[in-house]
Amino acid sequence: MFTNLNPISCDVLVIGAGLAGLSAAAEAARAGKKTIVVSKNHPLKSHSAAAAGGINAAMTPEDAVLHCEETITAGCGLCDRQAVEILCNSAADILGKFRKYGTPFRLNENGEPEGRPFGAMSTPRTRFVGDYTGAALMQTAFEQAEKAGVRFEYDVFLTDLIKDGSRIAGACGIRFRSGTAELFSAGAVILATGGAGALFAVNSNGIGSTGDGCAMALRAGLPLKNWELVQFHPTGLYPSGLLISEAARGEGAVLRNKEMEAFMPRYHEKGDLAPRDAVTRAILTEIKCGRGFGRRGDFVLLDCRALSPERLTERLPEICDLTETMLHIHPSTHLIPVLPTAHYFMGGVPTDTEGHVLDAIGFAVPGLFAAGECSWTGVHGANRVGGNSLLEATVFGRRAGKAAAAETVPASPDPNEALRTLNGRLEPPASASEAEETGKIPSPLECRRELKEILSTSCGAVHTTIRHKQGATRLSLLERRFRKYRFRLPPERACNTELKDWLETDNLLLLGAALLTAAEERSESAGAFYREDQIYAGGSLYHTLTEYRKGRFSAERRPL
Amino acid sequence: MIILRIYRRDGHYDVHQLDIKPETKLLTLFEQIRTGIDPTFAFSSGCRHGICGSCAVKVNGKPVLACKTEIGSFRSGVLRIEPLNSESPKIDLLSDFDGFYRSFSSFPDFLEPNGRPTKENFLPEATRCIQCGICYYSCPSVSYDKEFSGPAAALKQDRFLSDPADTITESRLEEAVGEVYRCVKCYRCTEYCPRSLDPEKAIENIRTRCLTRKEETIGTFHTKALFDSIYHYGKINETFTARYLFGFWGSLPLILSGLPFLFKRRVRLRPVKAANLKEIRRLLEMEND
Amino acid sequence: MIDPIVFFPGCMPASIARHQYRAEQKILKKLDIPYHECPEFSCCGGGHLQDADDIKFLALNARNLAYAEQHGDVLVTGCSTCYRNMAETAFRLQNERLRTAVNARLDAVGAPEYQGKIRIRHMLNFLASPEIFSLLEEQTSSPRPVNVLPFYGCHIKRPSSILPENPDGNMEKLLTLCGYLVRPMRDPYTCCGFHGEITAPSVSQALSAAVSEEAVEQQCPIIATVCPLCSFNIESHQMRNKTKRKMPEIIPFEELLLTSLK
Ligand SMILES: Cc1cc2nc3c(=O)[nH]c(=O)nc-3n(C[C@H](O)[C@H](O)[C@H](O)COP(=O)(O)OP(=O)(O)OC[C@H]3O[C@@H](n4cnc5c(N)ncnc54)[C@H](O)[C@@H]3O)c2cc1C
Ligand code: SF4
Ligand code: SF4
Ligand code: FES
Repeated sequence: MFTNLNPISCDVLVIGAGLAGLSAAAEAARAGKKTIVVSKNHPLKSHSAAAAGGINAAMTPEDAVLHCEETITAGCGLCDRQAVEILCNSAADILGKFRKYGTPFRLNENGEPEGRPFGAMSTPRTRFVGDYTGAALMQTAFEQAEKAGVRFEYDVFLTDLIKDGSRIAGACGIRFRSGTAELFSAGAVILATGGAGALFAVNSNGIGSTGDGCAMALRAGLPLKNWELVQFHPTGLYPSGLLISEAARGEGAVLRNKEMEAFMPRYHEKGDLAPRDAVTRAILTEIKCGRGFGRRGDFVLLDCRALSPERLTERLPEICDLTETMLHIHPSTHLIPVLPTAHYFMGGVPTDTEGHVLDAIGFAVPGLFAAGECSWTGVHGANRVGGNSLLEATVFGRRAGKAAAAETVPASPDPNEALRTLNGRLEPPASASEAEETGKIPSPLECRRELKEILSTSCGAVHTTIRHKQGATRLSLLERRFRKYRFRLPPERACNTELKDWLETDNLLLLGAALLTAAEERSESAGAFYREDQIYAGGSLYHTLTEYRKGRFSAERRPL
Repeated sequence: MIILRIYRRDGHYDVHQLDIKPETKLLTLFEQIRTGIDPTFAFSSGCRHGICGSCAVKVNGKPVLACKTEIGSFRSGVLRIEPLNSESPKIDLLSDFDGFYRSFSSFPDFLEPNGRPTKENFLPEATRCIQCGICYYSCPSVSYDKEFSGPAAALKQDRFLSDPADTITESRLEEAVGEVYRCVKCYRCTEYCPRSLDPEKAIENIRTRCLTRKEETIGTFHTKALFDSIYHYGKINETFTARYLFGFWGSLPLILSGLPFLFKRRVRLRPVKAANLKEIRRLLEMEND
Repeated sequence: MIDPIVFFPGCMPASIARHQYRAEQKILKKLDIPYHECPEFSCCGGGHLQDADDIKFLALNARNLAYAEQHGDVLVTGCSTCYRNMAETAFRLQNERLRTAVNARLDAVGAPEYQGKIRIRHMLNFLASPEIFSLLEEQTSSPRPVNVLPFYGCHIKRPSSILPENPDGNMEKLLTLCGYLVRPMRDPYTCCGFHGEITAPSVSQALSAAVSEEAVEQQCPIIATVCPLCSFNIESHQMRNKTKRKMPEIIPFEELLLTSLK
C-alpha cells in the first residue's frame, strides 16, 4: 500500500496527450496558465499517432455547409447541430494553423491541401499526409505544445479524479518508472484519455486504449452519454483487426465476396464509400449468407489491385507495410482479407461546446472539462464520419483548453483523501470472501482476454436483449474472480506492469458493464447500433445516460 | 523448437522453451508470457503494428521492433532478448528513454514559419520517424559522447532546415555544426531503422549546409581539406590534408608519428596523381543547379 | 582460368598502407587472376566528399566505375569505405533520372559513360567466393595455430540495403583455411571510429581502444582487418596511447592469407 503521495500542482491539468490533450494544453499554456499534461506513455506514442486516413476540412464556406449536412445525415439524427456547425466551420482555420506550423499535407496543383474521398461524403475533403496523417499532426501539435511551455509528465498512470468539495481539483495516480504515488492538484482538469477499443477482441486500437478517463468519470459519479454507440470499422485486417484505413477505398479499392463480386453497390448507392455502419452490416450480411472467405467463411476481401503500385507506395505506404509485415502480401498483387473491427466510441463523457463536463441533470461540473474520443460533444451522432474525429479532437480540444484556462480556481484537494482513494482501489472488497467458490483466478491479462470475448459475443456490431443478458451474467462472474487476484509484486515496485494491467482491466470491467447496461436501454437500431430483435422500425431519437452509483449501473433515456 | 532467454529485472535470464510457429511475432509471444505465465513480466507496446515505436528490444544484440519481428527470422534457434538501452537501469525489457527524448530539445524542435505555407509538396522523411529510439541507442557516438544529440534528432533537424517555410536557418546551423561532426559514420542508424529512414544521410545533408557558414570549425575545415586534396591529386594525400588542417608546424607531430610506418615500408613518399586529373578537377568545379 | 578483374586499390593502400597493397597484388598473382588497375582512378571521396557535395560525390565515383567498365565486369577493392561508396553510387544510379544527370556531367568533362553494369565486390567477399576459395584450398600450407580476432568494421556490412554482398563468416572461412584459430568477436561489425578521427577524436579513440582491448581479453596477438582505415585507426591509437602491456598486432587479412600461400 502507498504511504504518501508526491504533490504536484498546476493551473490546468490535462489527462492524456493525444491530439485532444495536446491541443487543449497548448491553448491553456498560451493563455498564461501553468499547464501539465500527464500521459501513461510518451505523448507521441498516443493513439492519435496511429490515425491514418486524414482529417476532414471544408476549405470554403459552401463546402462547410455541405460537410455539416453530411455529418448530420450520417449521424442518423443523433447529432447536436450546434456542435456540428462549430466543428465544420472551424476546420479551415485549424488546417491553416497546422499547415503554418509545418504539417506536410499533400498539396494539389494550386498549392492547397488535396482532398481524398472518404465514406459518407460527396466531395473529397479529407486532407492527408500519406496514410500517417495522425502521426504528422501529432508531431506538429507536440512541437507547438512544447513551445508554448507545456510541461509533460509521461509514464504516469492516473487512476482517479480527486475532488475539493464539489469541485474536481486534480487526479491521483502512479508514476510507472519509479512506482511512486502522485497527486496532481489543479485549478481545472481536462480529460482527454481517448477511446476504449480494448474492450473488444477484434479491435483497431492500440493496447493503451482502455478508456481510463471514462472510467474515472463513472467512478466520480458522472454519467456516460450514448456509451453503447460503438463504431465498427468495416475493414480490419484479418484476424487481428488492425486497421486498413478507409483511405484505401477512398483511393479506389473495392470489397469483394467469395464469388469475387464487388457487393457494395447492391447495398448502398455510394457503393464502397457508403457510411461505415452500412458497409460493416453489408459485410456481416455477406458472411452470414455464406459468401465469406476462408475455412470458416468469416472474412471478405479488399481489392486494391486497381491502384497502380506507385500510387500505393506514395499514398498508402502504411497499408503496404502492414500487409507485408503481417501477412507477407502486397496489396498491388494480392487481395487483403478484412473483417469489421471495433474502432471508435461515439459516446463518452457528455460535454457542452466549450468542453464543460455535464452531470446527469445537465449542469456543468465545476473544474472538469473533456475533449477528444473520451468525450461526447454531439458531433458524431450515431455514426461517426471517417476523418471527423481528428478534427473533433483539435477543435474541441482547443475550446476546452481555452475555457479551462479562463476558469481555473485555486484548489487544494486533501492528500489523505487522495491516498485513501488510491489505496482503496487496490484493496480487495469485503464481499470477495475466500470461501466463495468462483473458479480459477485469472491474471489481469487473462481476465482482459475473457472480457473481450464476452463483449464481442454479447455486445458486438449486432445486438439482442438475450445476448446482453447473457453477457451481463458472465461479466459479473468474471468480475468476482478478478477481484480475488493477489498481486505478486508490492504496488510500489518500479515499473509494476502487473499493477498497471490490473488497474486497466479494472477500468475495462467497469466500462464493459456500463456498455451492456447502455446497450440494453437502447431498444431500437440507430446508426452504428444495430438491433436484430428490434420490435418496430422507427429511429430511436433519444440519448442514453449511464451512471454507476454505489456499485450499481443504471441507464436512462434523455430526449434530444 | 525455439529457446528464448529473456532479460529480467534482477539481471538473470528467464529461459523459455517453446514449440511455436516461426511466423509468430515477438510481441505476441511476450503478451502470451505476460498473460499466461508471468503477469509481472514488463515490456512496452502500443499500436501492435510498427507505427508507435514503443516496443523496441534487442534480439541477439540486434535492435528490432517486437511487433514486426517474427521469431523465425533469426538464424539462431536461441534468442537472447534484452532491453534496447543497455546503459540505464533496466527492468525486464524496459529501459529508460529519457536521454533519447531529451535529445530532441538540443535545438529548436519546431518550425519557425514565415507565415506563408509553401505551395510546393514537401514531405520530409522525418515525418515517418516513430521515435523508437533504435538509432539513438545503437549509435556508438552517442554511447561515448553524451553531448551528441544523435541520429533521430539530426533527421528532425534536417527536416526543419530543408523546410522552405523555416526562417531560422542560421541559428539552427550554428547549433548543428557542433553536433553533426560527432558522428563517426558507422551507418548503424540507417541499417537498423525499422522505418527504413536514413538518418546518416540527414547528417550528410546538414554537413553540406554547414559549409555555407562563414565561420570555420574543425569539421567544415576537414571536409574542405579532403575536397582540396582530391582536387590537387585526385586522391587523398595524408600529408597534404594534415598540413591543410594544422599548418606546417602543427602538422609536424602528426607527420612524424607516421615515421614508424615509413620504416615498415608501408609509405610511398612521392604522391601519386590520378591520370586525367583534369576531368576530376572539372567535375569538382562544376556548378550545381 | 578466372575472368580478369578490375582492381581498385584505394588511396590509402596505394600511399600509406602499402603492405596491404603488396599483399593483394601478390595474392592475385599467385592465384593467376588477371587484373587491371586503371591509372585514371580517383579517390572514392573517402567517406567525406558526400558531406561537401552529394552530386559531385556520385559523379566522381561514377567516373571510376565508368573507367572500370572498360576493362572488365567485376571491380574488386580491398577498402571497405571505397566499397561502400561505390556500392552506394551504383545503387542510387539505378535511378534512371539520376544516372542521366550524372552521365551528363561525365560527358561534359570527357570521361566515359557509366552504364551501371559493373559488379562491385569487396576483396574479402571475392576471395571467399567458391571458385576462388577452391583455388586457395589447393595452395595453402603450413598451418599457424595462432589466435586471431576477426574484425570486420562497418562499411563492409552497413547499410546492407545498398551493399551487394553479406560478408558474414567470410574472414573466419579464409583464416581457418590458413590454420589460424579464429576467435568469435562479440560484435565484429562494430565501428573503428576512423571517420571521426579528426572531428570526434574521443569517440574514435574509445572505439579503437575497445577493439584492441577485446583482442587482449580474448588472448589474440593478432587482429585481422578487412579495411585499411580500420587497421590505421586502431594501430595509430595504440601507438599514441602507449601502455606497458603487449598490444595485439593489426594485420590486414590479405597479409595473413599470403603468408600461408605456397
Ligand atoms: C487505427 C485508427 C485509425 C484512425 N484514423 C482516423 C482518421 O484517419 N481520421 C480521423 O479523424 N480519426 C481517425 N481515428 C480516430 C482517432 O484517431 C481518435 O479518435 C483520436 O485520435 C482520439 O484522440 P484523443 O486525443 O482523444 O485520444 P488518444 O490519442 O487516444 O490519447 C489518449 C491519451 O490519454 C493518455 N491516457 C489514457 N489513459 C490514461 C491514464 N489512465 N493516465 C494518464 N494518461 C492516460 C494516453 O497516454 C494518451 O496520451 C483512427 C483511429 C484508429 C484506431
Ligand atoms: S552513422 Fe553516425 S549517427 Fe548513425 S549510428 Fe553511426 S555514428 Fe551514430
Ligand atoms: S529514425 Fe528510425 S530508428 Fe531512429 S527513432 Fe526514428 S524510426 Fe526509430
Ligand atoms: S507496438 Fe507500436 S511499434 Fe511495436
